[in-house]
Amino acid sequence: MKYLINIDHRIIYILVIISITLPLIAPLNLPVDASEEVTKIYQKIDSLMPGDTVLLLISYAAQNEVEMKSQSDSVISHLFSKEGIKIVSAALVESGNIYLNQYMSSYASEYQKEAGRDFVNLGFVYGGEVAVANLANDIHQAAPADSDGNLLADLEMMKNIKDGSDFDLVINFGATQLWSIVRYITDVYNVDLVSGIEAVFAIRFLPYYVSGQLDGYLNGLVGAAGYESLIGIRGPASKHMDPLSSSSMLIIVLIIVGNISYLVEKRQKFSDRSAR
Amino acid sequence: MAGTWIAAICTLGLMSFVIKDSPLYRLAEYTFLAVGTAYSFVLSLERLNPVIITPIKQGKYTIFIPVALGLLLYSRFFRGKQWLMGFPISVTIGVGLGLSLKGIVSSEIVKQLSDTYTSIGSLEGVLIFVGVICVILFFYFSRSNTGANPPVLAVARKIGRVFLMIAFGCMFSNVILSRMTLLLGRIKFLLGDWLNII
Repeated sequence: MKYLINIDHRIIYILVIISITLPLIAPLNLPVDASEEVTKIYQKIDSLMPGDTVLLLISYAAQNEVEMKSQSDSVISHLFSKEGIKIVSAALVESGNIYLNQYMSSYASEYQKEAGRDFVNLGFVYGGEVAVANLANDIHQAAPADSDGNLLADLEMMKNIKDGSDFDLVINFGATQLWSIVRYITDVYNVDLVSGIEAVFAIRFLPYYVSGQLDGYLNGLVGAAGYESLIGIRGPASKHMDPLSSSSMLIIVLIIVGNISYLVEKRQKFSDRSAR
Repeated sequence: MAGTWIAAICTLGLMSFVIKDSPLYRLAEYTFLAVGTAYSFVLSLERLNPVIITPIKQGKYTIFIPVALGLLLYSRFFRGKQWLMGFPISVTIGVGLGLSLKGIVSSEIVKQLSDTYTSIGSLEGVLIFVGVICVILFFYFSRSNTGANPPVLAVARKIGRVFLMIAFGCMFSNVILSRMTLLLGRIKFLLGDWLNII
Protein backbone atom coordinates (compact mmCIF):
# COMPACT_ATOMS: atom_id res chain seq x y z
CA MET A 1 0.00 0.00 0.00
CA LYS A 2 2.87 2.34 0.80
CA TYR A 3 4.12 1.78 -2.76
CA LEU A 4 0.77 2.83 -4.21
CA ILE A 5 0.69 6.05 -2.17
CA ASN A 6 4.27 6.95 -3.06
CA ILE A 7 4.04 5.87 -6.70
CA ASP A 8 6.29 7.85 -9.05
CA HIS A 9 4.14 10.45 -10.83
CA ARG A 10 5.91 9.63 -14.12
CA ILE A 11 4.32 6.16 -14.08
CA ILE A 12 0.89 7.83 -13.88
CA TYR A 13 1.79 10.09 -16.83
CA ILE A 14 2.83 7.06 -18.87
CA LEU A 15 -0.41 5.24 -18.00
CA VAL A 16 -2.44 8.30 -19.04
CA ILE A 17 -0.55 8.59 -22.34
CA ILE A 18 -1.13 4.88 -23.04
CA SER A 19 -4.84 5.20 -22.18
CA ILE A 20 -5.14 7.99 -24.76
CA THR A 21 -2.90 6.50 -27.44
CA LEU A 22 -4.37 2.97 -27.61
CA PRO A 23 -7.96 4.03 -28.49
CA LEU A 24 -6.55 6.45 -31.09
CA ILE A 25 -4.73 3.57 -32.82
CA ALA A 26 -7.57 1.04 -32.32
CA PRO A 27 -10.87 2.98 -32.01
CA LEU A 28 -13.72 1.49 -29.95
CA ASN A 29 -16.43 3.60 -31.67
CA LEU A 30 -18.36 4.22 -28.47
CA PRO A 31 -21.90 5.60 -28.97
CA VAL A 32 -22.39 9.36 -28.50
CA ASP A 33 -25.58 11.08 -27.30
CA ALA A 34 -26.62 14.71 -27.07
CA SER A 35 -27.65 16.10 -23.69
CA GLU A 36 -30.59 18.48 -23.14
CA GLU A 37 -28.48 21.66 -23.22
CA VAL A 38 -26.83 20.57 -26.50
CA THR A 39 -30.20 19.72 -28.09
CA LYS A 40 -31.46 23.20 -27.17
CA ILE A 41 -28.64 24.82 -29.18
CA TYR A 42 -29.48 22.62 -32.15
CA GLN A 43 -33.17 23.59 -31.89
CA LYS A 44 -32.37 27.31 -31.61
CA ILE A 45 -30.24 27.25 -34.76
CA ASP A 46 -32.61 24.95 -36.64
CA SER A 47 -35.58 27.22 -35.92
CA LEU A 48 -33.90 30.33 -37.42
CA MET A 49 -35.97 31.79 -40.27
CA PRO A 50 -34.78 33.62 -43.43
CA GLY A 51 -33.99 37.22 -42.53
CA ASP A 52 -33.02 36.42 -38.93
CA THR A 53 -29.75 37.95 -37.76
CA VAL A 54 -27.11 36.16 -35.71
CA LEU A 55 -24.13 37.59 -33.84
CA LEU A 56 -21.31 35.04 -33.92
CA LEU A 57 -18.48 35.64 -31.45
CA ILE A 58 -15.20 33.78 -30.99
CA SER A 59 -13.56 34.28 -27.61
CA TYR A 60 -11.29 31.29 -27.17
CA ALA A 61 -7.53 31.09 -27.46
CA ALA A 62 -5.29 28.70 -29.42
CA GLN A 63 -4.55 26.41 -26.47
CA ASN A 64 -8.20 25.27 -26.39
CA GLU A 65 -8.28 24.46 -30.09
CA VAL A 66 -9.09 20.74 -29.73
CA GLU A 67 -12.37 21.14 -27.89
CA MET A 68 -13.41 24.55 -29.18
CA LYS A 69 -12.67 24.01 -32.86
CA SER A 70 -14.71 20.80 -32.83
CA GLN A 71 -17.62 22.73 -31.30
CA SER A 72 -17.32 25.68 -33.67
CA ASP A 73 -16.98 23.52 -36.77
CA SER A 74 -20.21 21.60 -36.21
CA VAL A 75 -22.29 24.58 -35.00
CA ILE A 76 -21.08 27.09 -37.64
CA SER A 77 -21.50 24.50 -40.39
CA HIS A 78 -25.13 24.00 -39.25
CA LEU A 79 -25.61 27.79 -39.08
CA PHE A 80 -24.28 28.38 -42.60
CA SER A 81 -26.50 25.60 -43.98
CA LYS A 82 -29.58 27.69 -43.05
CA GLU A 83 -30.89 29.81 -45.93
CA GLY A 84 -31.27 33.58 -45.67
CA ILE A 85 -29.61 34.04 -42.27
CA LYS A 86 -27.58 37.22 -41.75
CA ILE A 87 -24.42 36.65 -39.73
CA VAL A 88 -22.26 39.31 -38.07
CA SER A 89 -19.09 37.78 -36.70
CA ALA A 90 -16.24 39.04 -34.52
CA ALA A 91 -13.33 37.72 -32.51
CA LEU A 92 -12.97 38.99 -28.94
CA VAL A 93 -9.47 37.57 -28.32
CA GLU A 94 -6.41 37.89 -30.54
CA SER A 95 -5.91 34.25 -31.53
CA GLY A 96 -9.67 33.83 -31.98
CA ASN A 97 -9.24 35.96 -35.09
CA ILE A 98 -7.26 33.16 -36.80
CA TYR A 99 -10.14 30.71 -36.34
CA LEU A 100 -12.80 33.27 -37.24
CA ASN A 101 -11.14 34.01 -40.60
CA GLN A 102 -10.81 30.25 -41.28
CA TYR A 103 -14.49 29.57 -40.53
CA MET A 104 -15.78 32.52 -42.52
CA SER A 105 -13.74 31.77 -45.63
CA SER A 106 -14.20 27.98 -45.65
CA TYR A 107 -17.94 27.85 -44.86
CA ALA A 108 -18.70 30.83 -47.12
CA SER A 109 -17.27 28.98 -50.11
CA GLU A 110 -18.85 25.65 -49.07
CA TYR A 111 -22.37 27.13 -48.72
CA GLN A 112 -21.99 29.87 -51.40
CA LYS A 113 -22.41 32.76 -48.97
CA GLU A 114 -21.28 36.23 -49.98
CA ALA A 115 -19.39 38.63 -47.69
CA GLY A 116 -21.35 41.83 -47.14
CA ARG A 117 -24.62 40.23 -48.27
CA ASP A 118 -24.94 37.08 -46.13
CA PHE A 119 -22.29 37.72 -43.53
CA VAL A 120 -19.94 40.40 -42.23
CA ASN A 121 -16.64 39.55 -40.58
CA LEU A 122 -15.60 42.35 -38.21
CA GLY A 123 -12.32 40.60 -37.34
CA PHE A 124 -10.73 41.14 -33.95
CA VAL A 125 -12.51 43.80 -31.88
CA TYR A 126 -10.24 45.28 -29.24
CA GLY A 127 -11.10 45.99 -25.64
CA GLY A 128 -12.44 42.84 -23.98
CA GLU A 129 -15.40 43.77 -21.79
CA VAL A 130 -15.49 47.35 -23.13
CA ALA A 131 -15.52 46.02 -26.71
CA VAL A 132 -18.56 43.84 -25.94
CA ALA A 133 -20.35 46.82 -24.37
CA ASN A 134 -19.50 48.93 -27.44
CA LEU A 135 -20.74 46.24 -29.84
CA ALA A 136 -23.99 46.10 -27.88
CA ASN A 137 -24.49 49.88 -27.98
CA ASP A 138 -23.36 50.71 -31.50
CA ILE A 139 -21.72 48.17 -33.81
CA HIS A 140 -20.85 50.82 -36.40
CA GLN A 141 -18.89 52.78 -33.82
CA ALA A 142 -17.25 49.73 -32.19
CA ALA A 143 -16.00 48.42 -35.55
CA PRO A 144 -16.40 51.03 -38.33
CA ALA A 145 -15.02 48.65 -40.99
CA ASP A 146 -14.98 44.89 -41.58
CA SER A 147 -11.83 42.75 -41.69
CA ASP A 148 -11.36 43.58 -45.41
CA GLY A 149 -11.51 47.31 -44.74
CA ASN A 150 -15.03 47.86 -46.14
CA LEU A 151 -16.99 50.49 -44.23
CA LEU A 152 -20.00 49.01 -42.42
CA ALA A 153 -22.04 52.04 -43.47
CA ASP A 154 -21.55 51.02 -47.12
CA LEU A 155 -22.67 47.41 -46.62
CA GLU A 156 -26.33 46.75 -47.50
CA MET A 157 -26.65 44.03 -44.85
CA MET A 158 -25.53 46.35 -42.04
CA LYS A 159 -28.03 49.15 -42.82
CA ASN A 160 -30.59 47.68 -40.41
CA ILE A 161 -28.16 46.19 -37.91
CA LYS A 162 -27.09 48.86 -35.48
CA ASP A 163 -26.98 47.46 -31.95
CA GLY A 164 -27.66 44.43 -29.76
CA SER A 165 -31.44 44.69 -30.17
CA ASP A 166 -31.16 43.90 -33.90
CA PHE A 167 -30.05 40.30 -33.29
CA ASP A 168 -32.29 37.25 -32.93
CA LEU A 169 -29.57 34.99 -31.56
CA VAL A 170 -26.06 35.36 -30.15
CA ILE A 171 -23.70 32.40 -30.57
CA ASN A 172 -20.46 32.52 -28.63
CA PHE A 173 -17.49 30.16 -28.38
CA GLY A 174 -15.20 30.42 -25.36
CA ALA A 175 -15.73 31.46 -21.75
CA THR A 176 -13.41 34.50 -21.78
CA GLN A 177 -16.09 37.09 -22.61
CA LEU A 178 -19.26 35.09 -21.91
CA TRP A 179 -19.95 37.07 -18.72
CA SER A 180 -19.70 40.34 -20.66
CA ILE A 181 -22.01 39.05 -23.40
CA VAL A 182 -24.65 38.17 -20.80
CA ARG A 183 -24.24 41.52 -19.01
CA TYR A 184 -24.22 43.88 -22.00
CA ILE A 185 -26.01 42.16 -24.88
CA THR A 186 -28.40 39.31 -24.13
CA ASP A 187 -29.75 40.43 -20.72
CA VAL A 188 -30.06 44.07 -21.78
CA TYR A 189 -31.75 43.47 -25.16
CA ASN A 190 -33.48 40.18 -24.24
CA VAL A 191 -31.72 38.23 -27.00
CA ASP A 192 -31.29 34.43 -26.98
CA LEU A 193 -27.76 33.25 -26.18
CA VAL A 194 -26.09 29.89 -26.78
CA SER A 195 -22.43 29.17 -26.17
CA GLY A 196 -19.67 26.65 -26.52
CA ILE A 197 -17.62 26.58 -23.32
CA GLU A 198 -14.25 25.03 -22.43
CA ALA A 199 -14.90 22.07 -20.08
CA VAL A 200 -12.80 23.71 -17.37
CA PHE A 201 -15.27 26.64 -17.18
CA ALA A 202 -18.54 24.85 -17.90
CA ILE A 203 -19.66 24.40 -14.28
CA ARG A 204 -19.29 28.13 -13.60
CA PHE A 205 -21.92 28.90 -16.21
CA LEU A 206 -24.46 26.33 -15.03
CA PRO A 207 -26.31 28.98 -12.91
CA TYR A 208 -26.80 31.07 -16.07
CA TYR A 209 -28.30 28.07 -17.88
CA VAL A 210 -30.61 27.23 -14.95
CA SER A 211 -31.78 30.88 -14.72
CA GLY A 212 -32.46 31.00 -18.48
CA GLN A 213 -29.82 33.66 -19.18
CA LEU A 214 -28.03 31.04 -21.28
CA ASP A 215 -30.35 29.05 -23.55
CA GLY A 216 -27.97 26.17 -24.24
CA TYR A 217 -24.31 25.31 -23.97
CA LEU A 218 -21.71 22.83 -25.22
CA ASN A 219 -19.45 21.45 -22.50
CA GLY A 220 -16.02 20.94 -24.05
CA LEU A 221 -15.37 18.02 -26.34
CA VAL A 222 -18.33 16.04 -24.92
CA GLY A 223 -20.73 18.81 -25.99
CA ALA A 224 -19.10 18.97 -29.43
CA ALA A 225 -19.55 15.21 -29.88
CA GLY A 226 -23.21 15.53 -28.86
CA TYR A 227 -23.76 18.24 -31.49
CA GLU A 228 -22.07 16.11 -34.15
CA SER A 229 -24.52 13.31 -33.35
CA LEU A 230 -27.45 15.74 -33.85
CA ILE A 231 -26.26 16.92 -37.27
CA GLY A 232 -25.61 13.30 -38.24
CA ILE A 233 -21.84 13.18 -38.60
CA ARG A 234 -19.10 11.26 -36.80
CA GLY A 235 -16.58 14.09 -36.73
CA PRO A 236 -13.35 14.63 -34.80
CA ALA A 237 -15.10 15.21 -31.44
CA SER A 238 -17.02 11.90 -31.68
CA LYS A 239 -13.79 10.09 -32.59
CA HIS A 240 -12.06 11.69 -29.60
CA MET A 241 -14.66 10.29 -27.22
CA ASP A 242 -12.88 6.89 -27.14
CA PRO A 243 -9.53 8.14 -25.77
CA LEU A 244 -11.30 10.66 -23.54
CA SER A 245 -13.48 7.91 -22.02
CA SER A 246 -10.56 5.53 -21.49
CA SER A 247 -8.38 8.20 -19.85
CA SER A 248 -11.30 9.31 -17.64
CA MET A 249 -11.84 5.68 -16.58
CA LEU A 250 -8.14 5.43 -15.71
CA ILE A 251 -8.37 8.58 -13.55
CA ILE A 252 -11.45 7.18 -11.76
CA VAL A 253 -9.60 3.90 -11.06
CA LEU A 254 -6.55 5.84 -9.81
CA ILE A 255 -8.72 7.97 -7.50
CA ILE A 256 -10.38 4.84 -6.07
CA VAL A 257 -7.04 3.04 -5.61
CA GLY A 258 -5.50 6.15 -4.04
CA ASN A 259 -8.37 6.52 -1.55
CA ILE A 260 -8.35 2.83 -0.61
CA SER A 261 -4.56 2.91 -0.06
CA TYR A 262 -4.91 6.04 2.07
CA LEU A 263 -7.67 4.49 4.22
CA VAL A 264 -5.81 1.19 4.63
CA GLU A 265 -2.62 2.94 5.67
CA LYS A 266 -4.55 5.17 8.09
CA ARG A 267 -6.15 2.07 9.69
CA GLN A 268 -2.74 0.36 9.93
CA LYS A 269 -1.22 3.39 11.67
CA PHE A 270 -4.18 3.46 14.08
CA SER A 271 -3.86 -0.28 14.92
CA ASP A 272 -0.05 0.06 15.34
CA ARG A 273 -0.58 2.92 17.78
CA SER A 274 -3.20 1.01 19.82
CA ALA A 275 -0.92 -2.10 19.91
CA ARG A 276 1.79 0.04 21.55
CA MET B 1 6.46 20.28 -43.32
CA ALA B 2 8.95 22.49 -41.45
CA GLY B 3 6.06 23.95 -39.44
CA THR B 4 4.95 20.47 -38.37
CA TRP B 5 8.50 19.59 -37.26
CA ILE B 6 8.87 22.82 -35.28
CA ALA B 7 5.46 22.24 -33.65
CA ALA B 8 6.41 18.64 -32.83
CA ILE B 9 9.75 19.66 -31.28
CA CYS B 10 8.03 22.40 -29.24
CA THR B 11 5.35 19.92 -28.08
CA LEU B 12 7.95 17.38 -26.97
CA GLY B 13 9.95 20.18 -25.35
CA LEU B 14 6.96 21.31 -23.29
CA MET B 15 6.07 17.72 -22.39
CA SER B 16 9.65 17.11 -21.21
CA PHE B 17 8.84 19.27 -18.18
CA VAL B 18 7.09 16.29 -16.55
CA ILE B 19 10.52 14.63 -16.33
CA LYS B 20 12.44 17.78 -15.38
CA ASP B 21 13.14 21.35 -16.42
CA SER B 22 15.33 21.35 -19.55
CA PRO B 23 16.71 23.82 -22.15
CA LEU B 24 14.30 22.33 -24.71
CA TYR B 25 11.37 23.16 -22.42
CA ARG B 26 12.65 26.73 -22.02
CA LEU B 27 13.09 27.08 -25.77
CA ALA B 28 9.52 25.89 -26.44
CA GLU B 29 8.12 28.15 -23.70
CA TYR B 30 9.91 31.28 -24.96
CA THR B 31 9.02 30.47 -28.58
CA PHE B 32 5.35 30.28 -27.63
CA LEU B 33 5.51 33.59 -25.76
CA ALA B 34 7.43 35.29 -28.57
CA VAL B 35 5.05 34.11 -31.29
CA GLY B 36 2.02 35.13 -29.21
CA THR B 37 3.42 38.59 -28.51
CA ALA B 38 4.44 39.14 -32.13
CA TYR B 39 1.00 38.07 -33.37
CA SER B 40 -0.77 40.44 -30.94
CA PHE B 41 1.53 43.28 -32.01
CA VAL B 42 0.86 42.77 -35.73
CA LEU B 43 -2.88 42.51 -35.08
CA SER B 44 -2.74 45.77 -33.11
CA LEU B 45 -1.08 47.55 -36.02
CA GLU B 46 -3.68 46.17 -38.45
CA ARG B 47 -6.50 47.52 -36.27
CA LEU B 48 -5.12 51.08 -36.46
CA ASN B 49 -6.76 51.52 -39.86
CA PRO B 50 -10.41 50.63 -39.05
CA VAL B 51 -10.36 51.97 -35.48
CA ILE B 52 -8.40 55.25 -35.88
CA ILE B 53 -7.62 56.18 -39.48
CA THR B 54 -11.05 55.40 -40.97
CA PRO B 55 -13.00 57.50 -38.41
CA ILE B 56 -10.60 60.42 -38.94
CA LYS B 57 -11.16 60.19 -42.71
CA GLN B 58 -14.92 60.27 -41.98
CA GLY B 59 -14.44 63.50 -40.02
CA LYS B 60 -14.98 61.97 -36.59
CA TYR B 61 -12.27 63.97 -34.87
CA THR B 62 -13.41 63.00 -31.36
CA ILE B 63 -11.28 59.87 -31.87
CA PHE B 64 -8.25 62.08 -31.07
CA ILE B 65 -9.28 62.10 -27.38
CA PRO B 66 -8.81 58.32 -26.80
CA VAL B 67 -5.75 58.38 -29.08
CA ALA B 68 -4.17 61.13 -26.96
CA LEU B 69 -5.02 59.24 -23.76
CA GLY B 70 -3.45 56.10 -25.23
CA LEU B 71 -0.27 57.97 -26.19
CA LEU B 72 0.01 59.32 -22.63
CA LEU B 73 0.73 55.75 -21.51
CA TYR B 74 4.16 56.12 -23.14
CA SER B 75 4.99 59.03 -20.81
CA ARG B 76 6.54 56.47 -18.48
CA PHE B 77 9.58 56.49 -20.77
CA PHE B 78 10.19 60.22 -20.13
CA ARG B 79 11.80 61.12 -16.83
CA GLY B 80 9.73 63.59 -14.83
CA LYS B 81 6.64 63.11 -17.00
CA GLN B 82 5.54 59.74 -15.66
CA TRP B 83 2.66 61.33 -13.75
CA LEU B 84 0.85 61.88 -17.07
CA MET B 85 0.33 58.11 -17.24
CA GLY B 86 -2.18 58.41 -14.40
CA PHE B 87 -4.82 59.98 -16.68
CA PRO B 88 -5.33 57.07 -19.12
CA ILE B 89 -5.08 54.54 -16.29
CA SER B 90 -7.73 56.33 -14.21
CA VAL B 91 -10.05 56.64 -17.24
CA THR B 92 -9.60 52.93 -18.06
CA ILE B 93 -10.25 51.83 -14.49
CA GLY B 94 -13.20 54.20 -14.14
CA VAL B 95 -14.87 53.04 -17.36
CA GLY B 96 -14.20 49.38 -16.53
CA LEU B 97 -15.62 49.69 -13.01
CA GLY B 98 -18.63 51.66 -14.17
CA LEU B 99 -19.47 49.11 -16.87
CA SER B 100 -18.89 46.14 -14.56
CA LEU B 101 -21.04 47.50 -11.73
CA LYS B 102 -23.92 48.23 -14.09
CA GLY B 103 -23.81 44.74 -15.60
CA ILE B 104 -23.03 42.76 -12.46
CA VAL B 105 -25.89 44.18 -10.39
CA SER B 106 -28.58 43.30 -12.89
CA SER B 107 -27.21 40.08 -14.48
CA GLU B 108 -25.34 38.44 -11.65
CA ILE B 109 -27.14 39.59 -8.51
CA VAL B 110 -30.74 40.53 -9.32
CA LYS B 111 -31.42 37.87 -12.00
CA GLN B 112 -29.60 35.09 -10.17
CA LEU B 113 -31.33 35.92 -6.88
CA SER B 114 -34.77 36.18 -8.43
CA ASP B 115 -34.31 32.82 -10.17
CA THR B 116 -33.20 31.25 -6.88
CA TYR B 117 -36.56 31.91 -5.23
CA THR B 118 -38.88 31.79 -8.27
CA SER B 119 -37.85 28.22 -9.17
CA ILE B 120 -38.59 26.97 -5.65
CA GLY B 121 -41.69 25.04 -6.84
CA SER B 122 -39.62 22.10 -8.12
CA LEU B 123 -37.31 19.69 -6.28
CA GLU B 124 -34.34 21.10 -8.23
CA GLY B 125 -35.41 24.62 -7.21
CA VAL B 126 -35.66 23.65 -3.51
CA LEU B 127 -32.18 22.07 -3.65
CA ILE B 128 -30.74 25.21 -5.26
CA PHE B 129 -32.44 27.45 -2.68
CA VAL B 130 -31.22 25.37 0.28
CA GLY B 131 -27.73 25.13 -1.26
CA VAL B 132 -27.45 28.89 -1.79
CA ILE B 133 -28.60 29.75 1.75
CA CYS B 134 -26.39 27.12 3.43
CA VAL B 135 -23.28 28.02 1.40
CA ILE B 136 -23.77 31.73 2.17
CA LEU B 137 -24.09 30.84 5.88
CA PHE B 138 -20.94 28.71 5.61
CA PHE B 139 -19.02 31.88 4.79
CA TYR B 140 -20.64 33.84 7.63
CA PHE B 141 -17.63 34.20 9.92
CA SER B 142 -18.97 36.78 12.40
CA ARG B 143 -19.62 34.62 15.44
CA SER B 144 -20.84 35.64 18.81
CA ASN B 145 -18.04 36.49 21.27
CA THR B 146 -19.94 34.77 24.07
CA GLY B 147 -19.77 31.51 22.13
CA ALA B 148 -23.54 31.21 21.97
CA ASN B 149 -24.19 30.58 18.29
CA PRO B 150 -27.63 29.31 17.26
CA PRO B 151 -27.59 25.55 16.47
CA VAL B 152 -29.30 26.22 13.15
CA LEU B 153 -26.12 28.00 12.01
CA ALA B 154 -23.99 24.93 12.76
CA VAL B 155 -26.40 22.66 10.85
CA ALA B 156 -26.52 25.07 7.90
CA ARG B 157 -22.72 25.16 7.78
CA LYS B 158 -22.55 21.36 7.67
CA ILE B 159 -25.07 21.24 4.82
CA GLY B 160 -23.25 24.10 3.09
CA ARG B 161 -19.99 22.14 3.28
CA VAL B 162 -21.66 19.16 1.55
CA PHE B 163 -22.92 21.42 -1.27
CA LEU B 164 -19.46 22.97 -1.61
CA MET B 165 -17.78 19.55 -1.80
CA ILE B 166 -20.22 18.43 -4.52
CA ALA B 167 -19.54 21.64 -6.47
CA PHE B 168 -15.76 21.26 -6.11
CA GLY B 169 -16.04 17.61 -7.23
CA CYS B 170 -17.92 18.68 -10.38
CA MET B 171 -15.34 21.39 -11.09
CA PHE B 172 -12.47 18.96 -10.56
CA SER B 173 -13.99 16.42 -12.96
CA ASN B 174 -14.36 19.13 -15.61
CA VAL B 175 -10.77 20.26 -15.08
CA ILE B 176 -9.59 16.67 -15.65
CA LEU B 177 -11.77 16.42 -18.76
CA SER B 178 -10.35 19.66 -20.11
CA ARG B 179 -6.72 18.76 -19.40
CA MET B 180 -7.17 15.31 -20.93
CA THR B 181 -8.55 16.99 -24.04
CA LEU B 182 -5.43 19.17 -24.28
CA LEU B 183 -3.17 16.14 -23.98
CA LEU B 184 -5.31 14.22 -26.45
CA GLY B 185 -4.92 17.03 -28.98
CA ARG B 186 -1.14 17.00 -28.68
CA ILE B 187 -0.86 13.18 -28.85
CA LYS B 188 -3.13 13.13 -31.90
CA PHE B 189 -0.94 15.77 -33.53
CA LEU B 190 2.26 13.82 -32.79
CA LEU B 191 0.87 10.48 -33.98
CA GLY B 192 -1.17 11.83 -36.88
CA ASP B 193 0.26 15.00 -38.41
CA TRP B 194 3.89 14.33 -37.46
CA LEU B 195 4.45 10.56 -37.51
CA ASN B 196 1.47 9.60 -39.74
CA ILE B 197 0.73 6.52 -37.59
CA ILE B 198 -3.01 7.25 -37.28
